[in-house]
Amino acid sequence: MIVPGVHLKKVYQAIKTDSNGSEDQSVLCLSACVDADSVCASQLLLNLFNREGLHFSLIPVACYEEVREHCAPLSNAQEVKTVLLLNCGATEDVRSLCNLPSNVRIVIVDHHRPVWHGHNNDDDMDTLVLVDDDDPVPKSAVPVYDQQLDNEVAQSDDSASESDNSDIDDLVDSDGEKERGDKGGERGRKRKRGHNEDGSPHTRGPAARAETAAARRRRAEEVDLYYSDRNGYGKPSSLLLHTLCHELQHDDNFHIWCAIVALTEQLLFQQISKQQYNTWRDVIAHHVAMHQDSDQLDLVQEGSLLSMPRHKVQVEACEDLRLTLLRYWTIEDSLRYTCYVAARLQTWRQKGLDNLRSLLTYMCIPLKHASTAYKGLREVYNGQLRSQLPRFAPQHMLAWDSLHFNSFRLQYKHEELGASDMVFAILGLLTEGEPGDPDSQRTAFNNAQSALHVQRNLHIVERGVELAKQMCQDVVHECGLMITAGKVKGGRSADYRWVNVADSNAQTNLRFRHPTVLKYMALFLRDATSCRYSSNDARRPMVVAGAPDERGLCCLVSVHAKHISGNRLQNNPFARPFIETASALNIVPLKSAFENATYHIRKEDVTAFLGKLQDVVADYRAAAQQAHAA
Amino acid sequence: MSELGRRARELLKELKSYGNRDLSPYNEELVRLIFSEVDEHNAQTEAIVSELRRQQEGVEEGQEVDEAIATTMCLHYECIKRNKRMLLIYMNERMQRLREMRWTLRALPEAQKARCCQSEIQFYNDYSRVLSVYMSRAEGLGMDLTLDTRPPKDTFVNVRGLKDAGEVIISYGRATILNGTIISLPSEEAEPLIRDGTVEVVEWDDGFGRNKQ
Repeated sequence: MIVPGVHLKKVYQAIKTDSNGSEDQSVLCLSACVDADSVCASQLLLNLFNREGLHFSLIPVACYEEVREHCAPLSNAQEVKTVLLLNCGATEDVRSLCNLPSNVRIVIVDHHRPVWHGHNNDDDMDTLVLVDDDDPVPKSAVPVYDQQLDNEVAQSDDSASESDNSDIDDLVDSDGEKERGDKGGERGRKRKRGHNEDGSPHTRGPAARAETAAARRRRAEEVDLYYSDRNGYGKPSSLLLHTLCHELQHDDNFHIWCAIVALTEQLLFQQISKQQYNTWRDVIAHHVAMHQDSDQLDLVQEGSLLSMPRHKVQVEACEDLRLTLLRYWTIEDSLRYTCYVAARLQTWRQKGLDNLRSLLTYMCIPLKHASTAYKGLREVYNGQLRSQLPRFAPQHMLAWDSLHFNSFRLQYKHEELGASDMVFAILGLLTEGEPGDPDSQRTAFNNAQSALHVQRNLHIVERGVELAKQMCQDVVHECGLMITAGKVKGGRSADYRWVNVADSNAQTNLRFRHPTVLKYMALFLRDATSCRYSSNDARRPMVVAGAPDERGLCCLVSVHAKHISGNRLQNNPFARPFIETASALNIVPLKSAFENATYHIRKEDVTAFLGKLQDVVADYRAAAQQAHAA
Repeated sequence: MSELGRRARELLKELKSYGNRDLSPYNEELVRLIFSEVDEHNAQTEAIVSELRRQQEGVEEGQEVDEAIATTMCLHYECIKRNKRMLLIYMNERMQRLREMRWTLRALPEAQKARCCQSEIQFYNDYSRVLSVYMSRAEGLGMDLTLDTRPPKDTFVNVRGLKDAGEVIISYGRATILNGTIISLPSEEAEPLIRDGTVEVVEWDDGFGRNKQ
C-alpha cells in the first residue's frame, strides 16, 4: 500500500505497536549505502528509535541480492516482525523477492522512482511504501494495482505470437519479467503474484471479448507510459523522516541538518529541479528559524576581528556559492574543479586555466591570493569574490544563476561547514568503500554516519573533504583527457553520448568503479561535451561504463540530458533501454542496483551492451517519431 | 655517552613490546643494574664534591670552580634523575596495567601473576581489597562497578559489529551481528560482546542540541 505523508505518524505507531507486542522486538533496517540521503535518513531514524526506546539492527546494503540475503532468516519467521527499507525496495516486489510471509511487515522509505505499481494496493496492509503528497511522483500518478487485469495482460502476451502491439511486449519487460538471475539462476523477480486459479477462459460473446481486449490494451498502455516516464528520484527520504521527527516533537538541529544535506545532494546531482529544491528548502528554512538559538547569534559582532567560538552547533540559512569545497580549497582550485565551471571553461586544458585566471584578474583577486588556502584569506577577498563574480562570470560564459544558490551552513566552534561541503565529505567517505566488498562498504557507510556528528568527529569530516577533493580532481583531469582523446563516442547529433572507462587511461583509477563517482563523471562529461559543440541544443544524455572491479563487474550509469523545470520528475530515459538491451543479448546483470538506470554486468559484455544499446535507442526514436507523426 | 641510561631504556622497551595491556616479566636483574648505575653516578658525584671541598680549604677564597668539573657534576646528576624517572615510569605503568586488569578481567590471570614481583602481587591484592570494600553493600556503594567497561549512560547502547558473529539471542529478540552493522543492545548484554571484541560502542551524540562533550 502506498501511504501518503499525512499518515506517517500512524505508520510509525504501527511499527511501535508491532515491536512492543512481538517476541522479537527488534526492527530490521536495511539501508542503501551509496548516497548521502541514505546516510542522513538512517541517522534520523536511529536517532528517533533511540529516543523512543525502539530496538533495531541497521545493515547497509548495496543491491537487492544483499537485501534478500539478510531477509532470508525471516522467511520462516513465526512472530510479527518489521523490516524497514531505506532508499531501496520501492521499485521491486520485495516481498516476493525475499519470500517473506505476511507476518513480516515491510515499510519502505525510498526516493527511487518509479514505485512498482503493485505497491499501490490499498488492501495490502503488510507492505507500506511512504510517498509524500508533494513528491514528483505522488500516489495519484501510480497505476492502481489490479492483479486480475495485470495477469490477463501478461497471459495474453505469453500466448499471442502475432501481437500488433509492441507496447505489450514492453509491458512484459517493464512489469517484472526482468529475469535477472543470480549465480544460482533461480531467482525470479517476477512482479506477478500468481496466476488465475481458473485457467480456462470463460465463454463470452465477441463484444465482451473485444471489450476485455480493449481493457487489457488500455491497461498495458497506462502501465507502459507510467514506467517510461517516471524514472528518477522522488522526495528525499530524509525530508520524510524529518517530518516524522517534527510530528513526534523530536526534531532539533541535527535532524534538520540531516534533511538539509539530503536535499542538497539531490540538487548537486541534478536529481531535482532548482524550483523543487527551493520549495523544499523554504520549508526547512522555516524549521531552522524555529530552532535558532538567539544566544548564539550575539557572539559575532559586525566588523569585529574577534569572533567567539560557538559551543553549540548552529544551523542557519545563507546564500552560498556553488563552488565545490570552496572553504577547504583555494579560490582557484575550487573554481577549476567545480563541474560547472570546469565544463564551461574546460579547465583541464591550459587555455581553460588561462580563462580562469583571466576571470580572477577581472574580479581583482590577485593570483597569489587565489592560490592561497581560502580559510587563511582575508575577508576582503571573500567579499570580492561574492560581489564581482555576478558581474564578470557572464563575460566568461558562466551563468551567475548556476553559481549560487540558497543554502544552509553549520557553525560549531570556529568551523563553518556548508551543506554542499557536507555532501561532498559524505560522498568522499562513501566512495572510499570498495564496490564489490560488502564489509568495505559497510565500514565506509559507518564512517559517513559518524561524520554527521560534527561535535566529536570533525576530523572525519575533514578526511571526507580530502577524499572528495581528490575525486573532483580525478574526474576533471581524467574526463578532460577522455574528451581530448576522443574517447567520448556519439557526435553532435547523436541520440546520446557514451564512454567506456576501460578504453581509457582512467581504468586504473579505483574510484571509477563506484556508481556515485561514475554518476558525477557522467554529469560532467555531459556538460563538457555539450560545451565543446557550443550549440543551443548540444546537450545529450550520457552513458558511462565504469572500470571493472576485482570480480570483473562493470557498473553502467546514465544521466538525462535536459533539466526539466518545475516540480516534475527529472526523468532518466535509459531505464527501459537498459532492460531491453540486456534481454536482447541475454545478459544477466549480476547485481541489481536500487536505481533503474544503473546496471552491473560482466566486463566481457560491456562492449556488446553499448553497441546494442545504440540500436535499441534508435528503435525508440523511430517509434517516437512514428507516434508523433500519427 | 650512549651507555648512559641505556639499561633504563631497554627496560621500558621490553615493557612496551608486550602491548598496552599485558605485563612483561618483572626484570629484577635490569632494575638491580639500574640501581647500581645510579649508585655509581652518586659515588662519582660525591667524589667530585669531596675533592672540591678539599681544594677549597687549601686555596684562596673567590677562586671559581672549574667548568669541566661543574659539567661533569651536572651530567651525573641528570643521569641519576633520568634513571629514577624511567624506573618510576616502569613501576607506574605496571601498576596501571594491574589496576586495569582488576577492572576489566576482575581477577589476575595466572600467566600475568607469574610475571609480577612480590611487591606487585601485594599491591594487586591490596588494591583489589580496597575496591571490593568500596563496592560492598556493607561499607560501600553496594554496586559492582566492574560490570561495565565504561560508565553506562543509558540502559541501551548502540554497538557496531567488528566481526561476523552470526545470530545472537538477546532479551528482546534476535540480532545478527555482522561486520559494520549497527545494533541496539541492552548495556549488560552488550558488555561481554564488547569485552571479547565482537562489537564496539558507537560514539554518537544524541543530536546537536544535546551536547555530550
